[in-house]
Amino acid sequence: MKRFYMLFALFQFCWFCVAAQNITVTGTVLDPTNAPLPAVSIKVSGSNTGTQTNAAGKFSISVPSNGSITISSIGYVSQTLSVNGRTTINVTLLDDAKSLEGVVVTALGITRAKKSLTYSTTSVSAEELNQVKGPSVLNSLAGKAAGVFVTQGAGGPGSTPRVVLRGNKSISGNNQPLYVVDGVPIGGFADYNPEDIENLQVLQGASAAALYGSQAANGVILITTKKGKLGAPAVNFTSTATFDNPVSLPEVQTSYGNGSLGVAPTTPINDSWGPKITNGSDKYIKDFFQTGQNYINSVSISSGTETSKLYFSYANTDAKAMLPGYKFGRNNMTVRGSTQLFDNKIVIEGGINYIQTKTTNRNESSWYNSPMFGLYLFPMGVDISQYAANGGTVYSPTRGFNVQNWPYIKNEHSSNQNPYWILNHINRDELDNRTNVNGSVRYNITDWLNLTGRTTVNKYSYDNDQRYGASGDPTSIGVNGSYRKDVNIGQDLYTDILLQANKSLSKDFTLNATAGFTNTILTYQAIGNRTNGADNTLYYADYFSLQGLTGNYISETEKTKRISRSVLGTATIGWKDRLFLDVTARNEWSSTTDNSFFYPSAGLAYVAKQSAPNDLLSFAKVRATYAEVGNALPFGAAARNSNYTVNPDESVNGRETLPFFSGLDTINLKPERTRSYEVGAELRLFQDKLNVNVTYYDATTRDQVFKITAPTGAGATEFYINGGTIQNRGIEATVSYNAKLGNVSWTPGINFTKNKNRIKSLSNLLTSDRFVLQSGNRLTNLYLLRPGSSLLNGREYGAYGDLFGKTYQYNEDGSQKFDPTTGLPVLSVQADQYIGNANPDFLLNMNNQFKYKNFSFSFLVDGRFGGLVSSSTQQWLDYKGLSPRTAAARDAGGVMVNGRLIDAQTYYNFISASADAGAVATEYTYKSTNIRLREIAIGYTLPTFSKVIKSVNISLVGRNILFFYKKAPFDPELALTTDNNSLGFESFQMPSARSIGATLRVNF
Amino acid sequence: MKKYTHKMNYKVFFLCMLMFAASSCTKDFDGLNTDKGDISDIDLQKDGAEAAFLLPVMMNNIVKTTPDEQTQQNLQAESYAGYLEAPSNFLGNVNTTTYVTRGIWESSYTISVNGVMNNWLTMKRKGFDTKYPDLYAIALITKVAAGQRLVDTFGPFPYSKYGDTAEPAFDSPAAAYAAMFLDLDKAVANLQAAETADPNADQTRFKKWDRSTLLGEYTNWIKLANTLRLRMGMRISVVDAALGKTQAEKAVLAASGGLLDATTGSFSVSAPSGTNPHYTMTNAWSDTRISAAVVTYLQGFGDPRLPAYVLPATDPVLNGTYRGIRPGVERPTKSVYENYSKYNVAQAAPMKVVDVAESYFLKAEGVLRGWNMGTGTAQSFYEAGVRASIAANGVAGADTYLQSTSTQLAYVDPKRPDYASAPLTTNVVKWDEGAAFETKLEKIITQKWIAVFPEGTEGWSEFRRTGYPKQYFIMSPQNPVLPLGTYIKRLTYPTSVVTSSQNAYNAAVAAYLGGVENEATKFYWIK
Repeated sequence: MKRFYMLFALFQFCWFCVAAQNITVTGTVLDPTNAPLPAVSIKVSGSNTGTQTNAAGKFSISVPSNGSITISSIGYVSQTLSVNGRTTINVTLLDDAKSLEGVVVTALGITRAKKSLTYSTTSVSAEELNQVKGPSVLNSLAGKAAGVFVTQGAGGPGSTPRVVLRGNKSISGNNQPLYVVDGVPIGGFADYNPEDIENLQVLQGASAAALYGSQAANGVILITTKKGKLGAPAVNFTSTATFDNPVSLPEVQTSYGNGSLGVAPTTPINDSWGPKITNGSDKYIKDFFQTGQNYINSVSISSGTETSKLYFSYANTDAKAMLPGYKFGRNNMTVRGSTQLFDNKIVIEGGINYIQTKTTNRNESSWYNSPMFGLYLFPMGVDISQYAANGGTVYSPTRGFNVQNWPYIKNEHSSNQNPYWILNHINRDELDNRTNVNGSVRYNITDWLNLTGRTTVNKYSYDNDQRYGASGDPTSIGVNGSYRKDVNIGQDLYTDILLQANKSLSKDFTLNATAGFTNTILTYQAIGNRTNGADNTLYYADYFSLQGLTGNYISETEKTKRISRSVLGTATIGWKDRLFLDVTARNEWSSTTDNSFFYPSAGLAYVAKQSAPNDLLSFAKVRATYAEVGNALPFGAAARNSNYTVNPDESVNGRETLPFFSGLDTINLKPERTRSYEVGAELRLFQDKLNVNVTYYDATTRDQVFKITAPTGAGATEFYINGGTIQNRGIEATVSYNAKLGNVSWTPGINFTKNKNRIKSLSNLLTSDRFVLQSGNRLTNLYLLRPGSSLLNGREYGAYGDLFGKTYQYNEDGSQKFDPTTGLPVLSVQADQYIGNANPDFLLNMNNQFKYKNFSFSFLVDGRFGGLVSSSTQQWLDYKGLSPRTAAARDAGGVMVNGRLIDAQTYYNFISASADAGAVATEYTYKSTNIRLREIAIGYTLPTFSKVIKSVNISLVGRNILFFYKKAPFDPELALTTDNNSLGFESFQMPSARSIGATLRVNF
Repeated sequence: MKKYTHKMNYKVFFLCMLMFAASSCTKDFDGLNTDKGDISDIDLQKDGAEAAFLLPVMMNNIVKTTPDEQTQQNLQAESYAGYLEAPSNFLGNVNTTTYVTRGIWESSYTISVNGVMNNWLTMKRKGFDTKYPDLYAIALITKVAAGQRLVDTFGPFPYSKYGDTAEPAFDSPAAAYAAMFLDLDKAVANLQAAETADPNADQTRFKKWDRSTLLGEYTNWIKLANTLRLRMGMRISVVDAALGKTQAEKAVLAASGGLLDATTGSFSVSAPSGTNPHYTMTNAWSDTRISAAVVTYLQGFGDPRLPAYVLPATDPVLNGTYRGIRPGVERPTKSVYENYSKYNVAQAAPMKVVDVAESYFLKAEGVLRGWNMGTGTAQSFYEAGVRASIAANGVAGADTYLQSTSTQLAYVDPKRPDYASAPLTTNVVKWDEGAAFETKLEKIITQKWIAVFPEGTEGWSEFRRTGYPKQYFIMSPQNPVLPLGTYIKRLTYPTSVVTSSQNAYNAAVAAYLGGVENEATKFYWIK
């Protein structure tokens, strides 16, 4: 390398000798904050001559006096300046992220000018994403881009939120977007080091994703990672500490004590229908939780020369949840390097990304084994401290060890257990390891044509160790305890070869085209052993080991492999830099799908006005795109001769789910196909200060593949069927403004997202008016309704996420029906009455950023409007006489129903169906509309005080600070799981957290 | 490369350009689309496993041998038969025990349909009826055992056209019975042929797969088939006397191969986990207790089987006496009845499907009806049945018991005086040849009911056919079609059947249930 450099210097010298009219230009390059910029590339235009700025941002270069120089640095807008005989040229470079004419990374990592795109995309910068950091980077995505729906999972560090772009498109499939890191699809993105992210790009539609195939039918989130940068090594250090406290804990009454029918119990029961008390307090709920702590420390080093660049980062996350004992830790390490060979003919890049996460003592949610269950339902007026002592245990002389101390263990549609005992004796530890090794070689055949080969191997393993201590709930835990052990390993291999051309065909026409081949191989293996409820237990109390499992315990092995291959092509033709035509095509072969499938897209963008900074309207563009995406069938769906599962007692189960058949007729399943179009416009007004971006889209997915209950006598339990057509239509709009008020800069931004889902048709192969998707949560059912079904309640179409349950019944004159004997309301016979939809009507959020000298201040207000969520917690609180309204009813001597005073306990037992299925769903279903101050940050950048330390920034940050509006008595963004079928259901989950903390950033 | 549809010309062009890549695209796809951790048809061809591998799981799904049995029949037939009752107030006490069956707990229907009928269909589609006629015969007997219970519980059922189309029509209960008799004919013929060809064939081909107490003996399975035939013949003894007599006499004929008796024992199937589901429901879940009639009859008769069936109550108000729960009562909280008498079930006990003594009582009734039931009188068959049951329960005292003339006790519930009941009958255990037909029938059915305990589906069916033994009506009926003092006649079809088989369902209700599909609708042999 050194010799190469000397040769280069010699060449430079010779050239200097020949070009005698050259002059030496010196100068300083500054960044927008007027700090000197080192390692900026200075090139003489039209030649290979160049140099770099030094640490003080100074350069010196020999240039023809009538020539020009190009000043460029990654992250800044390049500038080309004419020398015109000047010997001193000082330059201030502008941030590229702020540049409106920026380039964007599109599918397959191809860089394109933003204005040439024919579809909608939203960019989220690393700065916005990392403003208020949490353990998962995905939580930080909420409210930052139009078209993005983020729902928290079960809560607690290590739980992954649900992210959906432009509505739920698939009934059985995964509705979550594909995550693509540096052009390659990746799993487990929730655990990536947010500091490695340079930029995050949301491609909401299928159009941009046509190139990624099946996996991208739900949209794509493209992540560009930080790379090594030219210049002296730069070191960044970031440290964040935040502290969590529970918000929206359930409210309980404190005026009636333990007991039933107004009488105190003689033996302990956990009902709070007892006599009036004066010592009631709800303090024990809050006291159960601790202040959660999150510490995220990361360091990155980047350096590079003209030919070789290196980036290294390490991050450590250490979190203690609000539940004592529940911890989460993560280590992220990334190394990336690149080098250029043979005069930039060949560019080699490679990287390793390693993620290890460890979750200790993750607690369960909902009914059985959830600490919140025993805690929230604890009888009022009883002192919990007697059961909190010794970790919730008491010494048992018969067993010779400390057993669960809880008089309320009883199977009552769920077992009630000591929450302190659960924290200490029901333990779940998970260990995840993920290693991603990637490499690429690019051969620049000519200056407009290159061939790139890339491959990524993503190896992961997961270890799950679940221990249920002896003396647990006897309905699901054996007398000596229960144990579950899973070890899963997998490998995703992704390879592609792309031939890319980028050429001006004539003065007016430009071509940007790619043809390629991709190959994806996913292998997975899972091994699990576990006790079967209370049917088996352990040989010895609390001996958690595979050789300790008794009897016919459950033992399972899963081995799967999926291959998909595709050929693809894409071309963008530009005319006069104003009109762009985009076409793509892909043919895909998948091992889960019998026949190959093909899908195209086409888009058009017209830039009506550009670079007119002095006009009122400074930029205008309109665009339209039509795209199809085929979706490979779910694994095993098309298999008529699938393998049989084997039971622990050696018996073999028959096939339960089969592709649809009728007698001897078999119909081949087709891959799902989403046809979508979108139209949009981008406008900039008032010298580019006001930006408006609006998109309307319609995505209709036909031949939806899902499982339904087979008709009786058909010969299968369930059929896979091409069952229906779902449409998602919506509007996304972004408005932002860039204001300068003296020294204060203010950049507000508003995102608006509205999506409407409709079930257009259900398969004619079957006659039923509804397909049942979920019916197990006791409050609401999820159905898909055929247009014309009587259950639609007069609506033309049903929607995905429609909730059904029991409702009050009304007479024709509108008056409510009551049972003449009991006086209680009459309910619908079946839990199939339409209640509403779980998905929000629209999202509206506003981001504000203020900067004044070294100070910055930003906040994000996030609003979610419409949609329903039902709460099992509230149902149980009514049943147990703990909800505030049960106390109010008792104060009033009962509940006045239709002129009759009904005993409060009778009434609330009835409407809550004693916490079992059959409750009045409308009583426990809440509007999830809420407006919250989601993020806030106040930052200060210290004035430069050292040559070594380039900058120091300190900010105070907060998340989930307060609700401006909220109807539900809990955080309506909670969902029991991130599954499709848990839409709109909350049940004894870890409460949401309000986080407050500080971040320190130091650049060396 | 597999065949695909050409939609556009440019697609062909595009593919031709990349033919190299395309042609190698699917070479390695074969056999990938299934979980290799599971077992394949090819693996199962080894050691002849394919002939019989579905039989164990079929046996496990007649009466479910896992705790799913709770929603298959514990909360339905076992309650209606007066055997076992739940102390738990499921669904706010609006559930099957209070006669509301619509829209809840589909297992009564789905377990046998998915676990027996669908697996039988798989064997038939594989051509095993001709390839492995002996093992196919076992599948047929299992299918009849399950099918007969489904028909008796629901009425119309798509038995004869099962698997012919995606939405086959339902049979009338009579047509289903006729088809089941044919299946039994075929099964017995196949097994007899196999026995004749090689009496030890079953030991090598079937024994490993038999999860029941019949020990893999084809001769025992023939006896099970004949017992089912006798049971079904008796069921239709009034509604179709001629067919009933023919089938019953055919079952008893020596050439048919005999009936389940004291030498074969009951037909019971062991639980895959090793734990009897009633044991889990009784102990771990505290969800099932003895029903009132078990104690009032057995204690009143001085039955030696009482301690073998029932444990003394632990509720302090009952002072260690035996006490069951009256069926279908109000249960404001579980604790009210949680400590009434438990079912005395051993953890490792297999689940009984057909009781050892049933054939004796069926023959006793056959004699009563004037059928040729072989050598013996109604009294001799009756007494042999009682002895067989007492012996099978490992207790003594049959001689004394058969002379017992004490009667059923009154029922008293100390927590709910309004649930008390005077004795329902004055009939006694001791045989009285001079008594009227109905008195003798009541004796036979009452003793059969005691013997069959706790197999609720048979107990409930015979109660619906004969009205014996006399049962307590439920105290908290929640279904307007079954007011206080009435008894449930059938279960309604699960919602999934109503919605997924809408047309076939509507047709069956119109044709075979008189257009009314509810819990009070009578069909075929119901009295």
